[in-house]
Amino acid sequence: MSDELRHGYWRSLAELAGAAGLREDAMREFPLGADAPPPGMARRTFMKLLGASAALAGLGACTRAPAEKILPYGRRMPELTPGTPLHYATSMVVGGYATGLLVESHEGRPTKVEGNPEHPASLGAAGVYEQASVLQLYDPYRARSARDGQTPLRWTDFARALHTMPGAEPGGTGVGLHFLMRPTSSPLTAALIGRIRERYPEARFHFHAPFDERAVAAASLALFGDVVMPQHDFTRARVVLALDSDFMGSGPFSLRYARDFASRRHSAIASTSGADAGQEMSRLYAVEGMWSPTGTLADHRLRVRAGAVASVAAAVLREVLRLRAGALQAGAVDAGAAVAGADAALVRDALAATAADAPAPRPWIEALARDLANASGSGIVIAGADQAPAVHALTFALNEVLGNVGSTVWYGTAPIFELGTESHDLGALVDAMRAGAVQTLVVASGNPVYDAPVDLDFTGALKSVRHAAYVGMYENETAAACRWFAPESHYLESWGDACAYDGTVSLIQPLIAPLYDTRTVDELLAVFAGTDGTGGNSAHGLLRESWRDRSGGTFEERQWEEMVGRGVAPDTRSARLSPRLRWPAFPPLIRATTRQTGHIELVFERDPRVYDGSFANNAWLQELPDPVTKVTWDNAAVLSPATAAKLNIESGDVIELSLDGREQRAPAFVLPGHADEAITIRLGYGREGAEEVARGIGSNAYRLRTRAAPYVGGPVEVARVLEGGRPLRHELATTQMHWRLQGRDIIRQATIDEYRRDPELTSAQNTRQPSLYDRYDYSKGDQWAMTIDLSKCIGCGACTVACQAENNIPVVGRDGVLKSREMHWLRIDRYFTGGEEDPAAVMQPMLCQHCEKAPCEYVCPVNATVHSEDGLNEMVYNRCVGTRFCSNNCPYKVRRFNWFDYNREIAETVKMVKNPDVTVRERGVMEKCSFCVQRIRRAQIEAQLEGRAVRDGEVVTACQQACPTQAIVFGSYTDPASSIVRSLSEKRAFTVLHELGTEPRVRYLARITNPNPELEERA
Amino acid sequence: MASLFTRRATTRLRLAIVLTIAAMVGVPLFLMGWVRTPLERGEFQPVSQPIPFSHQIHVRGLRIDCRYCHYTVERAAYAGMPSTGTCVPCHKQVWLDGPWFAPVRQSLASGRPIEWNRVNQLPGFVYFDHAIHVNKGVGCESCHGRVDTMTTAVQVQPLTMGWCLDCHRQPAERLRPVAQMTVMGWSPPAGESRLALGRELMKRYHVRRMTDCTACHR
Repeated sequence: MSDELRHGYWRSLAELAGAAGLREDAMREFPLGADAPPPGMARRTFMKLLGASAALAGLGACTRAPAEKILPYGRRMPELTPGTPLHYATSMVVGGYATGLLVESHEGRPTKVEGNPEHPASLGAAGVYEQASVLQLYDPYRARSARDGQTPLRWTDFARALHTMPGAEPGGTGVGLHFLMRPTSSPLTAALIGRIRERYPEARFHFHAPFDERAVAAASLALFGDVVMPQHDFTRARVVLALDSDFMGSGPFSLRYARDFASRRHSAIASTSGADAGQEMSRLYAVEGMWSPTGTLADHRLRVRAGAVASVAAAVLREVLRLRAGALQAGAVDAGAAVAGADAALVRDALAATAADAPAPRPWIEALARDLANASGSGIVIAGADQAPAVHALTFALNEVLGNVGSTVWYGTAPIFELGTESHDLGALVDAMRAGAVQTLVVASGNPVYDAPVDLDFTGALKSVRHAAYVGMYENETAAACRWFAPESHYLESWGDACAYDGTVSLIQPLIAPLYDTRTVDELLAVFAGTDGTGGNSAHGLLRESWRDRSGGTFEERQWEEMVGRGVAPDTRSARLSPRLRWPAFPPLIRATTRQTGHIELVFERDPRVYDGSFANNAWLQELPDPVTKVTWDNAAVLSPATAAKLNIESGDVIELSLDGREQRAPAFVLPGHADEAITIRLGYGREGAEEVARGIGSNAYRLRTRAAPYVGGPVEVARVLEGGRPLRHELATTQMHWRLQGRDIIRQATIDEYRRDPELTSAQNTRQPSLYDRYDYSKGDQWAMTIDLSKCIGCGACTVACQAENNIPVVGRDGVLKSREMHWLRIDRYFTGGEEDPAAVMQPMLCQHCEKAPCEYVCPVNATVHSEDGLNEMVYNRCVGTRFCSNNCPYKVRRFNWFDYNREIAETVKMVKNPDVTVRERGVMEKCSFCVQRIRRAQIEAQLEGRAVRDGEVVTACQQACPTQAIVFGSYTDPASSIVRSLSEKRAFTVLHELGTEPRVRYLARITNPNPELEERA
Repeated sequence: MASLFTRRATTRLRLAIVLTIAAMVGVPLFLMGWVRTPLERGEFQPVSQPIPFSHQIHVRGLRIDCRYCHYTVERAAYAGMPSTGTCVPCHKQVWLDGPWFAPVRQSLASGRPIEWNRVNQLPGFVYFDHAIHVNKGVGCESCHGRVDTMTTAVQVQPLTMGWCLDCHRQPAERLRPVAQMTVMGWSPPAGESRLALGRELMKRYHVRRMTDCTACHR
């Protein structure tokens, strides 16, 4: 083992093995070729340009800046002060559920998405999809015009054409008229569907999304007799078991769950040294195959492939029941929570069958069961939506038996319209299409041609439909297969509503008039619902009308204004239901799992960046590194080192996956900690539509995904692809090996017991180092500082995208990332600890540390990076001449260089997303995190105008604002009552690379874990 | 031996050498001087406008306060340019039908803005905030000059970084009571020195010497 690993942290397998060449690479700041000219430019052209630019450079400096115009408003807008942004509440729908947002608008131009603190699914945080959605609004590849074949249409003509289609004629009964939509939770959409069904009694609606909650619905229908959704309160959970559930990183309520989970954990850690020491810290067990952000934070992570999660869950339930029975005999617990007598034997048999050969060590299961049983009533078992109904049934049963239902877990009605009914089965529609029963198919949003199960052959069936119309944001695969097409509005251009996961009705309010001739899905439905008048069918009118109807006509203008202003309809959360669990239905449900061993299974996952492919054309998301693999602009077939060795595959080899006679190529990526005998591939890549950014990127795994096995398929055959006798390689653009910190002591970690015994564990990294430089007095005025809590960071990447949006950070593309030219001011480093097969992971966000003794400042020959009185390391773009000395001298490797004019060639619409408060940098300029100085100065000016000091919490950096777990705290440490002072004074605070004496203003809080003492194998 | 070059050729060569050296020194010197001239900075150069608007008539003649039109100057970064509607209440009585007013009438009818040409222009990487300046006692006149004497608005100050920093380093002499902000040709009350008053105002308004780069560059 190389000396780089003396602290036990490593970042990739090659590093662990000490691969030759890697050390050499590490000594360089950028890999070879980072400063090469763009592809396609010959040396000659380069020399010509060099000469010309040298000649022109001097002249350019002599001319004055081009004259500017001032355009005042024709009519003054009372609410708007030019130059001062406004925020409006709206909601974004992902997977059918709403997340409340506040969107910043500069003179009517939305530029930045933030969370709505009043919305239960957000509490002020916003995830990567929400953050990046503003770029999609300005996407130059959005469809702009409706069409019939190749003939352009106006939207109104398109609507008229719809009425001439068979089944949709006014006055008809709707025979042969079918709608295919995304699952929706919108009360307005539901009302419109109701009206269409009244008008066309024979019309049929179908709902399809590649990721849905049908498994949860099926299990709950069988066990409870009703479709209910489990709801959780993580602020009260002492023990959490996540069964292949990324409850903090993805899913409709993940932002909320992450906040709740982290806040409980933090209050336990923070109270360690105080008077109320001993508050119990929660413990998280994760059972998963592929790393999820939740899994990286787990105290105990069991590496189990997705198909075997059911057997682990069954083994846990079995053990819990055994403990329960023992306790029952001792008379210690309430009998009501245990399984009723007659069913007990059946349940026991079914569990025994399912739990047989569970791939988990018996002590692990026993310790977990004991922990769960001890935390009875304050534990949570949560299952991933992609798991089979059996796992959901086991989860319902576990929570029931453990007595969690009613305290930490409860049930609410499903907000998704008609979830659990036949209308959510795409197969029924395809059968009807094949049978010729579908005359007219209206596809509203979604992309079924691309993402429908491959064995349904939706595309083939679509050919037998004479009248197919598609409404969507892009001319994608589905648009290409339909004769009629009309563009859909972005949510920032739309009126509408939707429910959050807990049922709260959330308003969707437009920030800008539609950029093109587009309409919303509700406006499309209104065409059929008979409200097709002039102006009467605008989404705004429809929404007002539906709210008037809901409230029985007592709805006043003032109430409406307030509701729209807040973005949330008051008191609309779904009621707590207490359905009775029907044990007789339990055994057949969990027996239904077919468990196969001895083969390799293929797991399909939603992508943490492009979701199901709907965000594939978003360059911010494409360039965001995957939370764990750190792959950008690609997807990969991820497998464990052992499986890779068995198959003789290395990272970067192109492999061919064969499943049920279908084949698909994908590059392999070997990831420590992945389950053996399994390959995980993310969906959403390999697009073929008109979305230029997404087209041709990655591998389309939908081509292997069948109706019967939407999430776990197998056995899959794997073969390396050879070309000319040599393995075909595909270089994955990962940010993994760049900017390594070379094995220095940069992450501190301890268990809660260790921390309680020795709270001074980081004290050596907290002191001032001796220095030859004079000490500057940083005790007056505002003094900015930041802390980042490693116990909270899940590596989701919301901060990275938020920073990109706030600070006008350009995208460099796949080739750029391959050459280490990525521009993110904030990156998240992922470190592994422990053995190669089953390591633990730690996430460390890394940004400019704003060192008080900054090494970059000493070496700049033109004073382009200097220090401010309030402790900021300032970067002055207009002084920078691009020597890159600063970046070379930065020990944290957080400075980014504009190798090219990334902003010059962007489309006109994309220019609209730029934040006017931040300079757009040009070629040859260094840049880096500024602590969102534009927000600091704005707050300072406002405070000065009001004649007061800046208040705590008034300056919120973009990353801090986005962070779902509130891992980032920012403020001025000269305010003794501020949250930053509380955070800085935590005993576990430390500075990274403390030995260099840079005295950073960013401090990290050591990661505190809470492993079960019974399982202390990797504490 | 006959000389290889003619006398004239030698003279030419000498001249060329002298001129080259002179150019190498002179051109940079000239350019360095040039960028320091008001001409290069655009000072005192009339800027054509779609309407021959006269500040002199409105400010001196009609005694209209600056803030009637530049209405956000006390609370926002931009001073604010008047919307077309601002002209109408007075000009309903006079001039509205005149030929000079065609752009105003068009703008009123269409709702589209009147396109003014910018007079005081800062580079894109400078984030100047009007509100904080006027609330700390910097008068309009300090940067915009005697607007009340301008028939056509012109830039009267260099608007260079050095010029900004002169004041940012030594604000006292340029300050005046906030109440006198829009007064043209303001001078301190008799018997009081500008410097002494300025020092007192610095204390009263908590004026700091702002020389951090990010005060203006972000």
